[in-house]
Amino acid sequence: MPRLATSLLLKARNLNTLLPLLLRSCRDLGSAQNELRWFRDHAVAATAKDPTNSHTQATWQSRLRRMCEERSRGKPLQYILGSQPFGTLDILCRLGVLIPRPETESIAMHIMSYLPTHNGDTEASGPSKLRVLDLCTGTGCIALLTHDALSSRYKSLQILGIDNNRHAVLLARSNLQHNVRQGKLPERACNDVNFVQGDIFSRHAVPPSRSTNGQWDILIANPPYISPTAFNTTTERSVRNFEPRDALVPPSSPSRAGAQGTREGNAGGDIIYPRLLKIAREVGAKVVLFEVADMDQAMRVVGMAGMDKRWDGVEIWRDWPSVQNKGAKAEESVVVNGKITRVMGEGNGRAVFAWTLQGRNMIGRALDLEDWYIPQKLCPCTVHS
Amino acid sequence: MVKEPSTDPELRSLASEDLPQATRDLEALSTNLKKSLIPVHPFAHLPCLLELRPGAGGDEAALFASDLLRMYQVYCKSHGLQCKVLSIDTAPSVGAEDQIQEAVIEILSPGSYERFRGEAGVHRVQRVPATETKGRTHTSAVSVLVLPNFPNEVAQDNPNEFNDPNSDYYVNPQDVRTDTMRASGAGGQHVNKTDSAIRLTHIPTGTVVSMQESRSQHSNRTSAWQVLRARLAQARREAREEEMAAMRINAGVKRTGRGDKIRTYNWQQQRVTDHRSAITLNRLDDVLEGGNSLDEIMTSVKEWLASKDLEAMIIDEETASKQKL
Repeated sequence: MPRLATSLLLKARNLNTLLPLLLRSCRDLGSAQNELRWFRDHAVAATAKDPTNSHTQATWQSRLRRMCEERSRGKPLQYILGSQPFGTLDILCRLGVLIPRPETESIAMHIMSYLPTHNGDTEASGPSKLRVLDLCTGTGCIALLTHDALSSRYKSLQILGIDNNRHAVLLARSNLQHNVRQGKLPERACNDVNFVQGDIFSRHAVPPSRSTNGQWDILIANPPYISPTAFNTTTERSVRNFEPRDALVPPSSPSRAGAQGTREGNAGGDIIYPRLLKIAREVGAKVVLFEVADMDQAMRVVGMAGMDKRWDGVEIWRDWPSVQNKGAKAEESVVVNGKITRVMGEGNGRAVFAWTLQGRNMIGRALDLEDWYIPQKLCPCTVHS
Repeated sequence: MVKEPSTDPELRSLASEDLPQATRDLEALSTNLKKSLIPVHPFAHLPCLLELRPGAGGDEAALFASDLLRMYQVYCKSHGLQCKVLSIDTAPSVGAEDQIQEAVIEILSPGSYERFRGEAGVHRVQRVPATETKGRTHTSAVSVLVLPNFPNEVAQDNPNEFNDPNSDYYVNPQDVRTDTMRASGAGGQHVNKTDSAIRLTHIPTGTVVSMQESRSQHSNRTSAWQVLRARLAQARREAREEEMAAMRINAGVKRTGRGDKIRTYNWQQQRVTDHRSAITLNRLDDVLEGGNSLDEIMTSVKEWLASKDLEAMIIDEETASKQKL
C-alpha cells in the first residue's frame, strides 16, 4: 500500500486532528470526512443515550477518539458502529459475520423489481404465495430485504435463511427482531422469516419443511466466492484482517472440491456454484440469483448453468444492474458456449440470474421497482448446451 | 346620506353608527377579493427544500450561511414544522465546522413552500467579521433557494404527476445519468469501503446533484432524486415566469427575480431590512433566533408578493384586452 502524502496528512490535520487517523484506512480525504461525521453522530447519540453518563461533554469526544483509533488500525467502520444500512433496513454487524455490501443490496433490490407488483388480493393476476431460500445468509440482510420488498405483494411469504456459522444465524435472528422492533419490518416478518444453521455441503442442506413441501420458488445466495489466491492479492487489508475468511473463500478440501480442485488459480472460488445449482434442482427453484466475484467468474457460472439443462435463460448483472446510462452500449452481451447472454447495468460483473420457463411465467413482465428505474423486459436468450 | 342636509336626523345617526363597521367590512372584503383573485401558487401546498449558498464574501459569507441555517432551523422548531438536514458541505479550510459551502434542508410540513417562498433571494450581511483585525465592516451575501419538494407520496396519490411528460414534476429517467462513487477496484466481498455517495446528472440541462450525507446508498439516491426533481421543476416554472415577466416589463412593471438582494442584516445597527416590503426592524437577535420578528418580516413579504401578483394580473388583463381590440 503506498504511503500517504505528507501534504494530504497536513491538510487533514488542519481540518480535524482525528482525520489523519481515519486516513490510514480510508485513503482519501472525502471518505475520511464522511466517516468522521458518522462517527461523531454516533458518539453524540450513544453518549446521550447512556444514562450513567453525567459528564457528557468530555465523554462523547473521548468516545469519538477511541472509535477513530480503532478505525486507524483497519477495523471496518461497520463493526465499530455495529450496523450497516441495507435498503431501508438497519442491519446489525458483529465481528465474525460478513458485512453487507452495497453491491449485494443493489442486486437484491433488482431481483425484487423483476417480480410482479400485483396486489395480494387479486388472485387472478398471479399466485399470492412465494417461497424464497437464501443460502449463506450471513447477517440475514438479503432474506430481510426480500421480506421488506415483497410483504405487500404476497399474502403468503416464506423466507428461509441458512448459514453454516452459528454466530451468523444468531445475528440474523437478532436482525429480524431489531428491524421489527424499529418498525422497519411488519410484525408478520417474525412468522414469515426463519433462520437455521446448516451446511450446504451436507446431504440435507435444506431442512425439510412441511409447509413448503421442500420446494422453494426462488434461491438467492451470496456465497464465499473468492479464490485463495485472490484472497491474498485483491482483497482489502481490512477485509483480510477483520472479516471471516469462511464467508469469503469457499472450502477447498479435495472431497468437497471434487474434480474442480484449486489448481485453477482464480477458478478456486468456483467450487460452491455446482453445489448451489444442485440444491436449486433439489428444491425445484424456478429462479436463482448468485453473487459472483467478477465477469470471468460470472461467465464460468453461466457455463455451469448451461450444462445443467434445467435453466431456460440467464443474465449477467453488473454491480448496478438497474443503472442504464445513456451513452453506454444500448445492449451488452457476452457469448458463453456459443450462446448469447445479456449483461445488465454498470460496474463489475456481480451476479448470475437464471430462470426456468416456469420462473419466467412467475415473473411475467419485469416491472420497475422505483419510478426512475427503467422498465426492462426479460430477454428470452436461453443458454443451452 | 350622512352628509345630505335633508336626511332625517334619526336616520343620520343610525347611518353614522353603521359607517365604521361598513368601512371595516369593505376593507376585509377587498382583502378577501384580492386573495381570491390571485391564483394560488401551483406548488403552494407542497413541502419545500431550502438551499443556502454563500456568495460574495468568502469565509464570512460561509459563516453567515450557517447563521441563516440555524435561524431557519429554530424557526421551524418553534412553529412546529418538521425539518431535516439533507446535506451540509462545510468549507475545506481551517476550523471550518461552521462555515457552510452548501446546505440543503427539507421542511416536510405541507404548505411550507408557500410559507418560505418569500425567503428566496440574496440575503446580505453587514458586520465586522470575527476574522477582521482592523475593525472594518464587511458586506457579504448568501443566496437562498426555495424549491418545491415532491415527496414520494405525491407520486402514490397521483401517479400521473410523475409520469405525465407535460408535468413540471416529470423527469425522464433516460435523461439522468447515475454515478456511484464505488466504481474502481474489485468491489463486492473484496472491499468493505463505506462510499455511499450518489451523483445524478440530468443530461439535457446539465443539472448535477451529489449526495453523500447518509451511510445508506439507497437513502442518498432517494434524497438526490428529490433534490433533482425539485430543481428541475423550479427551473421549468421560472422559465415560464420569465417569459411572462418579459411581457410585463414591456408593459412597465419590473418583477424582482432571485438575483436581486432582498434583505439586509446589519449587526452594528442591530437591524434587519427587507428591501421588497420596505420593513425595518431593530431586533436583529430575535430575527436570527427565528422569533416573532422573523414572522413579522415574512408576513410583510407575503403581502408584498400578493400585491405584486395583483399588479401583474392587472397588466396581463390590460394586455389581453388591448389585444382583443
